[in-house]
Amino acid sequence: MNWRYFYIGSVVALSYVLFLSWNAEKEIKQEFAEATLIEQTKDRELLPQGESIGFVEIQNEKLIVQVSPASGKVWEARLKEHTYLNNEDSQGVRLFGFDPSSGFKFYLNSGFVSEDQGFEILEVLPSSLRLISSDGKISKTISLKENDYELLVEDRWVGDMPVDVPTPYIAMYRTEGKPLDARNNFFENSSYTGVAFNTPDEPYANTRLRGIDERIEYFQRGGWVAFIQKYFMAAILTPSDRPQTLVALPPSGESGAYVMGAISREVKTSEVSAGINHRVFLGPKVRSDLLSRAQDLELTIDMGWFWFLAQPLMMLLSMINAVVGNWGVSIILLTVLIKLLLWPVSAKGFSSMAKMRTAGPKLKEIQERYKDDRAKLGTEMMALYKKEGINPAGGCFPLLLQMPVFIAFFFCLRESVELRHESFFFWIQDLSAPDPLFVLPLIFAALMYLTQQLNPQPPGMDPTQAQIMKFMPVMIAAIFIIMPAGLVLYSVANSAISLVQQRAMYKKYGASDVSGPD
Amino acid sequence: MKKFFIHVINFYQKYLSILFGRNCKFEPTCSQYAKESIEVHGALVGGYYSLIRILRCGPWSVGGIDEVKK
Repeated sequence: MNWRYFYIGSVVALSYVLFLSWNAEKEIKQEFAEATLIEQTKDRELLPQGESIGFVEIQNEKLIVQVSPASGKVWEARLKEHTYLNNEDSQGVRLFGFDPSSGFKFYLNSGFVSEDQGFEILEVLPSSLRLISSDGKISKTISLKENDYELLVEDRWVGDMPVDVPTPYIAMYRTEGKPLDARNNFFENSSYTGVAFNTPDEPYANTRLRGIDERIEYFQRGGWVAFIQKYFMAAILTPSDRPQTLVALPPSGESGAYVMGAISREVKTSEVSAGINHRVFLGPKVRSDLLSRAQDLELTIDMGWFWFLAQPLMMLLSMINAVVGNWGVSIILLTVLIKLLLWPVSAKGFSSMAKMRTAGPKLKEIQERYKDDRAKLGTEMMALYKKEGINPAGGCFPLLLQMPVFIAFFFCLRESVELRHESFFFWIQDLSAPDPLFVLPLIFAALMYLTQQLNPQPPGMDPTQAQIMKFMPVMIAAIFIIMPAGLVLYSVANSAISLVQQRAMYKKYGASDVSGPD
Repeated sequence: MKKFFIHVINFYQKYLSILFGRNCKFEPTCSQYAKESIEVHGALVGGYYSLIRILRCGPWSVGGIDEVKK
């Protein structure tokens, strides 16, 4: 054992722990600052530009929403059940919101095109708010659907009808920047953040905000426009029978806010005076929930390159979790299930590995003898394999197939809000975040070391190779330290089951006594 | 391009393949085949042949000697 490496390793590990706790501290402070900010806003200070009086708060079981009664804008939407930090006292994550210090803003507005004026309060209820424009022409109702993530907006023309029928619109305004209440870790910022349109030609047309440099328009019936971020999204869902123009605009003037919205076309006087309704979804991206809300809305869950593997994986995982009620246990059970399905294939592989281990000395002899004659070596090796009954049953393809499964699992864990802040047991309180105590990565390294001891010795290994092989478990563990704990849990379960299977097969073929690669 | 792929395969053979044990049903192994194939036919065509070879190397195959066609 080289002590120098040990010391270097310890120092690195220790600084990482320090960095983590410093980061956690910072986040708590930040949250505290934001909480005070909200209080101050209620005191009518630090309001967003253009607002002069405080907000009216409405809420239901899922959302708390701040509306400006003067402008009718929805300035803040907080998710009650999804807290910023992983504890119950923490504030909910905001989708809409603003930050006076950075100038960030993300809000909703609606009404009639070129009718921009002040409002007055008509009625305030716990989960709804009715406003009337100062000139008495437009009434606006903002309400929250009972026990749901939907904000309902109704704009109605109550005054005298002008010659040209007023054009109703609804839009989200957002400046460029990191989503509010996104944490600072690497995985938190790696998901897709941007706009997506649902159009008849392209059910999921997405672009980043910065990519909008001119007006984007889609003429269609129904559809939706969404702003997507990791785990959550805000989406304007339009009625499927109404002709719409879905638009995205680059910032105009000094506001710096991009516009994403829907403008109704061909509206009749009767529709305008009966009220134009829009649904705005503000919530977590849960597949089963999105499926029932609007067509193609589930496409906003981006499972990456191997989505065709990741989606069935997530479906199975949810099904298992519905029974056992712990995502960590579900991950382990899913791994067991996959392993059981592949058991016959891997058992054959391990049995030939066991035989190869016992035939190791003979193999080495052949390799020594025909070192310079490749063709002859090949034939002799094949002959030996045949004689000993060695048939590497799996082949390269199944081995290669494991990689997409792993990558699919990675994307699945990265994207699934279901696993956010879900604990496993003891020290693992969040499966979507790295293991804070490195226990799982260390267990994985140990399992990998044991597996190495069991694998047949590769012929002709030079000292550097042997050295690298020894350090491989440490290197992998180092990578796993920054991976989500759920992913490492899958890897640990996977290699633990393999190891048990391999041991059993070796015992069966009497290969356990033959010495390993050391 | 060619060189890059060959370096990658060399690295795989030296440090990564030992982690999985011997799985290949052919001689030369898939990685060796890929290396030679890329050397002979270039990155694109050689790579294509290698992909086909890997697809052939599964539980459904009998294996055996399968040299790169020159």
